Amino acid sequence: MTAAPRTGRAPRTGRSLQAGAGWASWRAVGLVAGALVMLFPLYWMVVTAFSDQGALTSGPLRFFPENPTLDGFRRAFTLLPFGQFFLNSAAIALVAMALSVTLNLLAGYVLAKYRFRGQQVVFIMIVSTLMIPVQVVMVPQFQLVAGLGWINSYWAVIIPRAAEAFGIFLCRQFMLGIPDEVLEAARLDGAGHLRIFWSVVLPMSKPLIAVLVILTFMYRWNEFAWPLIVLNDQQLFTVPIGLSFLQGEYGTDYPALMGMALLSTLPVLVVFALFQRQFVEGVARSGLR
Amino acid sequence: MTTAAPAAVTAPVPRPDPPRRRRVSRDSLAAWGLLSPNLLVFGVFLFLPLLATVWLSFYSSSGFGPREFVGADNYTELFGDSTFWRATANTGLYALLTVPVSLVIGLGIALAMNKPLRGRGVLRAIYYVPYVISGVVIAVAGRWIFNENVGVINRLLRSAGLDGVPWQSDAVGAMGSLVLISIWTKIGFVMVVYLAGLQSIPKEYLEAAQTDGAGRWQRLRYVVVPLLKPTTIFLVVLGVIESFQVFDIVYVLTGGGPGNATEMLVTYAYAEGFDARRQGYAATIGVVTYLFIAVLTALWYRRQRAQEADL
Amino acid sequence: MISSRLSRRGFLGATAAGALALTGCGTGFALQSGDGTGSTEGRLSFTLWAGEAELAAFRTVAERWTATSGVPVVFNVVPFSEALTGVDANLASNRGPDLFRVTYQDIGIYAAGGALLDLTDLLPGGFLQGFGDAFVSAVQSEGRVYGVPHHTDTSLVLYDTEALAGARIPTSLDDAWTWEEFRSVAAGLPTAEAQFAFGVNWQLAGAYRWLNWVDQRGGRLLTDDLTGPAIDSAEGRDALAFTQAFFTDGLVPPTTSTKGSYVDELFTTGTIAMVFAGDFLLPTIDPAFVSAGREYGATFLPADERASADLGGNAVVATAQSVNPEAAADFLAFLSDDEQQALFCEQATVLPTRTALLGQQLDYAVRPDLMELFVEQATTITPELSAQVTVPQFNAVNSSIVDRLEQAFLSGDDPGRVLADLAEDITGRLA
Repeated sequence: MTAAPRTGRAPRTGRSLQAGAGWASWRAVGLVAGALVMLFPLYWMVVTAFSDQGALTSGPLRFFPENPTLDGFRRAFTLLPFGQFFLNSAAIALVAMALSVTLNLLAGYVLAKYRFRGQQVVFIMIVSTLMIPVQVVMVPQFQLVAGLGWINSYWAVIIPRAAEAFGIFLCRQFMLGIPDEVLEAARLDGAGHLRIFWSVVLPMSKPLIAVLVILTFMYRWNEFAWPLIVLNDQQLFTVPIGLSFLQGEYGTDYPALMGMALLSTLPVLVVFALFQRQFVEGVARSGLR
Repeated sequence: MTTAAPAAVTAPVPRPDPPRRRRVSRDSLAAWGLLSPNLLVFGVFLFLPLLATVWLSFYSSSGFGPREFVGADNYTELFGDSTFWRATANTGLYALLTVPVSLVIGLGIALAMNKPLRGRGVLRAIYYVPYVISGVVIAVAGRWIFNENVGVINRLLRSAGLDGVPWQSDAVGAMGSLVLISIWTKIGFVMVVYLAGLQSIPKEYLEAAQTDGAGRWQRLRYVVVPLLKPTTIFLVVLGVIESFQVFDIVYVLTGGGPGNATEMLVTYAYAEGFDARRQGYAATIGVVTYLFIAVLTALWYRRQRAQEADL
Repeated sequence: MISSRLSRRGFLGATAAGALALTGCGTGFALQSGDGTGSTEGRLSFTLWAGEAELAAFRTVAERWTATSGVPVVFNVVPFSEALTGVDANLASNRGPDLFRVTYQDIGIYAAGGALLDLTDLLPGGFLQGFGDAFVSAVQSEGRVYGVPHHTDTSLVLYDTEALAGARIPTSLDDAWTWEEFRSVAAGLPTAEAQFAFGVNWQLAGAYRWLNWVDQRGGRLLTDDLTGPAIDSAEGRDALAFTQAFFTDGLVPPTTSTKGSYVDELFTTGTIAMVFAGDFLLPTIDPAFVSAGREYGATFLPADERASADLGGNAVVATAQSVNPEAAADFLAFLSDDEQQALFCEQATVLPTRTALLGQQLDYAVRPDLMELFVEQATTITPELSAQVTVPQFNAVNSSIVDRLEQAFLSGDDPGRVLADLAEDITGRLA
């Protein structure tokens, strides 16, 4: 439908234009149908969040809450200080994101643009950390963090996850695409290592930064098991920990749980929405050459 | 180092040798300096715990109290442990089901989305949303939606006069629900990466193919898919690594059941470590899982390098 | 493009500003709170999971104790499903809390690992004589005392009044349903599509509740000296064959096997007409029935050779890492004296472990009439069964019960073979 005049392609015959239009509408219908399937679980979460607990499982199946209510949200906020949890999650995710992105960029830059003995080994070691199942090393990690006296502080969540192999991998692949000549020129102008990184490499890496921001914010915002064991004070709990309290020993409050689950997804969506334009470009230039 | 040559955009400029050599030592000092924060974090918070885990795998330990050195007993037990092999097979099956299907669907969506379309940004966001939701939330919602008795899917099926699917009580149903949910979450990411890959295919290739009379399908089969191969390899490896570490969703959705039908390597390690309190044995499962992934990835790495050599 | 760049820049700016603000006001970035839940002098730290009513009761009791002792109690409430992961990690790092809440089935492993404070000489003399035998045996390991039996729970059969209208409902322990009568009542219930007669609460950590059937038949899981398996017996096979038939005959939903989903939700939604349920579920079940305008009642567990019920509930223990052993023991004794235990049970709708309270009518908040039946059923928790489910390795044994029963229930494996496998597992895990 909209496929017509926007591309500057070679002129087509009328027949193939028509076929193109048919294809385009078929394509649009398929994409919309697929999107509806993708949305259904989320829609059902919304229905659940605004329903009355009892009405959900008894009586006929309804696709719209019979008496929409905010009671689920209300129960969640009365039971637990979710406002505080959101602040905690935000503080952790933002600081961790800033730190991780910086470290990722530094390492990616070095691995892509420097030559030194052991480079290959370092790269393989870093990539190999992707394969460590986190649940298995959690206890020794905890012992270390406890030994450092970090338990019950955000740093216990932030620092151990600050270096992050997938981000470094993306950065390296992306920066391989930055021409050496540009760096060479800066060097000849007398710029130091950090100066080149700051004023040459970073400005060229905006799409990459968009990717890293989206991914690391999401990782830290969603993390559950690790914050749960290092944060032992309700004042410091993150949102996912709060959610786990809504699935109690004696049954689950589905409206409250689904309501808070939906709310907890919003910040990640906002970050994605802000950066999504450069996201595809960033991915396009990393990892895939 | 062989991989370090960028796909040259400009013609290679001959580099004068002498000044470069002088810079090497200064450069490598700077390199290590710039890398050091990363290396410190990796070393302290990942490699040390990993070493501790390897060490623990030679002990019998509840996690607290006395531990006992048992040599390779944990490994001997592991190789004779049918649940472990079941978990390995399940994990492999899970990877085999989720990775190819999510790649095919994700590629299809990316192809459809690669041309101008009204509302493309919104559609892209919709497909991407499941990927950003936390595993715990997805699993809880999944348990609710796939509940065999009161879940919306089975209630829909029943109201259509069909039988409900045994999502919880049947091995196939349980693995099915797990795979469906996983695919739902992965599609968005695959789509974005393929979209990126598609953008790097030069338009001239497709136009040339079209003038040669290649149909839509032929262009896809003989031009697009081969050119996307690096993207595909990347996604496969990432998918396999993720599959071998799958935890949250299984732990909450099926708990490994029915029977051991959906027990995975990491859920089994967790159950042994924190339910049965056999931390030494759990460490052993973890170490072997790590090795499994390392071998698979090394195979990929070799293959990729062989391909680069071909280019 | 420009606007999107601006908003991105705005976002980054907001990130920095927000982070700075949070650093300024939030406590989370400060390291001085880093001692967390570890035991330190001058306070008692208490790690526990708790529902709303339970937590309120715990707090009330703690405030009363603090008023006399002057020592504050700091609570660390954790989600039920991951309750002990954090305790384990803290113990492994030598920073265990002073106190934690634990099921009777889990005490053994901590006691055997030397993680618990030996309370034998710290509790007031004769303190344990105030509790039922089954509970005393549950908190003891090799003759030493490692915790106080804080409360218990047990199961009854709850039924939908309308569905059971035609059936004989036992009103005393003596005329409880026999196995056969229970079966025929269940089989006679009208069931519509996707509806079943009943469900049993033997899921996951509750798998040990299956042992009720074995005990009712006169069988045992472990030998008398608790060192080996005794489950592969005629009684064990009878019990397994009888319970396996629940699945093969379609009396219970196939989702309610040992790795399945909890049954109480199925009862409130009307999927099943009867449910084996613990007293602590009444506060959840009752409002669901009231709001749906339905009625329910309760009767005793079926009996065979004898009546038997499951040992549910929790103890509270002190850790060997506690630097306040006297204060910890003093708090534990206070927590489980007659007055505090009565308060806790009434508010949280759970059953007492103190003999004096068992004979007394407590003022329960929810369905006191049914709670009376639970109390009566609790008298059939036998010290013999209680000793078997509290051996140090019981959590490992329990996870094997989960796996093996699922083989019988869902794969339809022969009871003899399943129990032989289970016996072999038990031998390995007790070693």
